[in-house]
Amino acid sequence: MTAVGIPRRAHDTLVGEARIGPVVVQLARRSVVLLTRLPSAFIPSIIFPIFLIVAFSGSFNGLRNANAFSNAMSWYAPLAVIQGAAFVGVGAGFSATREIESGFYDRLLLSPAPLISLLLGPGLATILRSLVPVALVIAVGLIGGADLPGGVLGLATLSVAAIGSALLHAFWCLGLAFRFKSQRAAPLMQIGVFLTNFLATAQVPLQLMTGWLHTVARINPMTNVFRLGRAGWIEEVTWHNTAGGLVALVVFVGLAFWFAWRGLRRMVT
Amino acid sequence: MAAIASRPRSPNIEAHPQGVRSLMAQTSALSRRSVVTIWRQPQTWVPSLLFPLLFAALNTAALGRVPAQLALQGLHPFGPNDSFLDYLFVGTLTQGVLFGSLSGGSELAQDIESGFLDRLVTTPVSRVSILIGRLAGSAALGFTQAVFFMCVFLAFGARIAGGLAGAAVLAAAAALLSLAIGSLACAMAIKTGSVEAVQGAFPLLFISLFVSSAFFPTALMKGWYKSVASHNPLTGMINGMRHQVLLGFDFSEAAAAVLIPGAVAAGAIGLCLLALRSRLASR
Repeated sequence: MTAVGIPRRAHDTLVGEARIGPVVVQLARRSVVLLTRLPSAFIPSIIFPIFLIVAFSGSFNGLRNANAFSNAMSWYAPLAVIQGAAFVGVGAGFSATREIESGFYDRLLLSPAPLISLLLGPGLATILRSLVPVALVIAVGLIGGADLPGGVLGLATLSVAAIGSALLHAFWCLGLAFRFKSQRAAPLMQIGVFLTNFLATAQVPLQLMTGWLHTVARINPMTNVFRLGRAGWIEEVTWHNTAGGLVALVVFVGLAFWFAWRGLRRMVT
Repeated sequence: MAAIASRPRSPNIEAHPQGVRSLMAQTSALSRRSVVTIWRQPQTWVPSLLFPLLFAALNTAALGRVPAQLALQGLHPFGPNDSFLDYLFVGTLTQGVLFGSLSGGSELAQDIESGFLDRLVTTPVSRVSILIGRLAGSAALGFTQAVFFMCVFLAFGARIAGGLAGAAVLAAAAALLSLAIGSLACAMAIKTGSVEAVQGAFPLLFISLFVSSAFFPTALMKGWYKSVASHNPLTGMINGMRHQVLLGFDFSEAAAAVLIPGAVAAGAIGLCLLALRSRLASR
């Protein structure tokens, strides 16, 4: 039964034992394999953050004079990394809508695979896939002259922020995909990334913002996630500049997972 | 079918020489069709109005304090008023016009994909009219967008120091920019006959806009990025337009604002005619 894109062993696992672990691994493996088979769906999540890091650090380099930051590359590299990872999450939503439309999800739902594995599989795939833009964009940032006062710990906090952001957007977009069951939901998925990121401290620090954006960014949880991501890039990593982001990620990834789970349950019934 | 087959097929883009009056009538009818087609498909032009405004709202709120902070250090790269809104005005206008200008090329590619262009060239209509009609739609869209952005920005407190003359320069430059990019998109459409290929040019526009003075002064950039942005033709045009907004009407700056897109438009129309000639010759 290779027509559905799952190898024979995986299919046997699906039909026979139906344990969560192997199904999750095979679904994630399938998604990673698709990287090589459908690169056009993945390449934007690499190209876009690299363009973002170059364009923002180049255009807004002069904000150093306004005391926004001391090194533009250190400020914008974490933004590009988190944004790139978020787009990998959006890719999980795109894949789901494509597979719902093609009937692949119907076949999955007919199999004895545990329902939760249909969320955990894409979740694991998102973590694996997001490592590519995270590694690439970090390399571009460091080559481009970013400081890393937090050292390895700075790399770790940024990776956690990026992977968390990827998971958050993946579950949010899967939730949308299960509800809309159509690729028409794609613009809604993309807008979600832009709104959550750019209504936070994506571009400039809070103290430079004015009016409505300052108010929104102050309460937007993504502001804490950016603080976590930038922790080791603009200062030393401390509990003070990472705790808020970690809490925000745990809470909002949990909520997004619940949103996706409800959508999946609704689709099944 | 016999009637179509019996028609002479010539690579000459003016295959059916006609009087000026007839040419004008055909051009007018095709221009009208182009404008109506764009108008009836708001999904192709509404985003080019809304997204630049959303972007402007975000940037103004995010970077609004920057000019005042720099002014404290004696720097005034955002103009004598130190107003980020005034500074961003021309960048937003250019962004909207650039993004909307691809629609003319997409429409032409759509005409090619659907076979409408093939049907059109079997009629005695002038080949130049087909092109001018389509490009007129692009120029009209650019002009309308310029007027729209001016109204919105003026409503939010921006001012055009150059007054009506300055506003006229902005509208003319926007129309010519739309004509220039629309012509390049049409040349691409004629060459490839694919809507997807024309839409594929969007990232190039996005990059060329970012690597310019559209959103931030080149004086505050550094290194290779500053060098590329300073030599980007868009920067020359934008600075010419921005002079009318920030400092007042100036003839030489106005000439730069209009002549740069005008020159690109002239070259791009030439490319369009060559592409059309080549397409007709291959049939």
